[in-house]
Amino acid sequence: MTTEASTGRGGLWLEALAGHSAKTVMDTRSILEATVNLGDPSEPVLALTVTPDPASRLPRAAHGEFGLEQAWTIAARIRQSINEDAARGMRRPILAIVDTPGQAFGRLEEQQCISVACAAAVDAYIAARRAGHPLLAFIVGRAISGSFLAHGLQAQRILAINGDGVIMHAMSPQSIARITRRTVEEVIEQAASSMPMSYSIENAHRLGVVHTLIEGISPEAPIPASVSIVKEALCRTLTEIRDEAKRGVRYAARVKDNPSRVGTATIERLMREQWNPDHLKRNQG
Amino acid sequence: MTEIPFASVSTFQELSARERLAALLDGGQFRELVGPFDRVGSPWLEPQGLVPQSDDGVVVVRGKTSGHAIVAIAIEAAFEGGSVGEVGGAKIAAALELAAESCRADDPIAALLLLESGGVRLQEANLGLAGIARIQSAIVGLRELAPVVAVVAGPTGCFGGMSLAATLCTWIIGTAHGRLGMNGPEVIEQEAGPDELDATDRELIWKLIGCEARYRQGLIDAFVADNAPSIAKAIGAALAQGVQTPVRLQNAEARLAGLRRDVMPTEAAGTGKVTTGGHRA
Repeated sequence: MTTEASTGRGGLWLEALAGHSAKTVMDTRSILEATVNLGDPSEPVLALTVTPDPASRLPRAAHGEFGLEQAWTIAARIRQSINEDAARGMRRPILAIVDTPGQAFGRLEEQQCISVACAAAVDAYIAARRAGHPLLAFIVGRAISGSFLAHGLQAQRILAINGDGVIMHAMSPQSIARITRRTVEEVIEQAASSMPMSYSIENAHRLGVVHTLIEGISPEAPIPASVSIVKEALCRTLTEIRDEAKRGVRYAARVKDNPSRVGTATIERLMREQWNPDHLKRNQG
Repeated sequence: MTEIPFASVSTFQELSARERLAALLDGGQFRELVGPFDRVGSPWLEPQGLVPQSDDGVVVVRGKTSGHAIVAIAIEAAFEGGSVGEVGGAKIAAALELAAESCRADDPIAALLLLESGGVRLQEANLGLAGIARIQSAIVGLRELAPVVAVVAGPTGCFGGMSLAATLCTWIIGTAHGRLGMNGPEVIEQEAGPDELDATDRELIWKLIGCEARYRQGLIDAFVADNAPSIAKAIGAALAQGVQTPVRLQNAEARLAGLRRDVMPTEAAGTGKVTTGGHRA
């Protein structure tokens, strides 16, 4: 097993869930994969994570960021797995284990169109889901902005540990602190007053963005008891995804009873009512 | 009162979201869906001391362009920098999903996205992110049934999660005033330091992320003059091509190999130490 210093939380959880060492994907040292077996009889799940690579040839992606190499690797690996499974007549579930500080910010990254690389990863995850691979995401650390869009947010279900350092946001508190010249503590405290602005994973759960919170385990140390709790939760979620896919549940159904999502629910209802031109005639009497 | 025909307005980038739609749709005619009179603004801005807008800065209409039935969506750059929050995000996603439903019911309808957006609205961070993820999924879903055309005409440009959304579209049209990039120059400077990128160096920025540069790189599909007739013509040409899978997203493995061969230095650039702007929590 690799050490925490080199793998970060994503790698630790990946290896703990798999029960064996992870391997690097397509020679990209910061992308790790392993097979996680879920359920009884067990079913193989392709699990992927992004991890720091201090010796990264692209320095802006050395700390676990989602950069050009990471994005194209994830896109290529997901496409490969879609093709492999299609040839074998199966659709393995895919699990994105999430702990990244964000996308890589840099001049070279923009010049080389990091938006295309990240979009290719998004596109590949969507293609996998549409081909019938159940997609799960499991947040064990930071779920931030573009890196989370490209690795995690296309999942049908997002699970998270409710524990220290597990956060979701569009910008890291460190970045906002630099831009607004406040301390990280001040940023986190002020953000807490607004539910969608909050870093708290509990608020992301209330909003329905994170579907399942796993309580009472440490995100930093995946001890065997924690691993079985997580595997059980993942297994239950897999069943839910498949049930929902069979029933063809619409997005509107998921938000309609959530008091924090009145805005979304209202738009869902009005957009559908007004979609066809004859609603005007109906309204006029 | 004198009415100025939109087509005679020389520069498209000065038009508001509704004016842009009127200028691009056949006969200037459209029907707005969930418009300002439905009064669905963001529920999250007022508690943060900001004034919401009754359309949340997103205009969704149905009409025709070059004779094709279209759902056209314009983001109003003048409201909160074109940022995507809960309501605006839901409007875009729901409209695209309904267009796909319509296509599946043998009533084909294409989509036009006028994207002037800084990306996620920071005040609605997590709902903005979730909204953009759903927009991305809806674009890919519709793209297989009908063309989805994006226009980046400036002055705001298209950044963050919305640059990924643009990239997922069948076809991207840009003008000399449009910029398309994942991270805005100011954000890069802030995160990585002025040595990485000087956000005040306008020439450098336009060479890096301006639509003309993006066209030469093959990231966007058409580069046209900043006026409505030119943009409308390019939209018509894109729609006439029908359903396609964007080439820019394909061949990930080859792109990875190309990146390693042509772009990445052979050795680690630093010693592996974090020098500036480390993100470690």
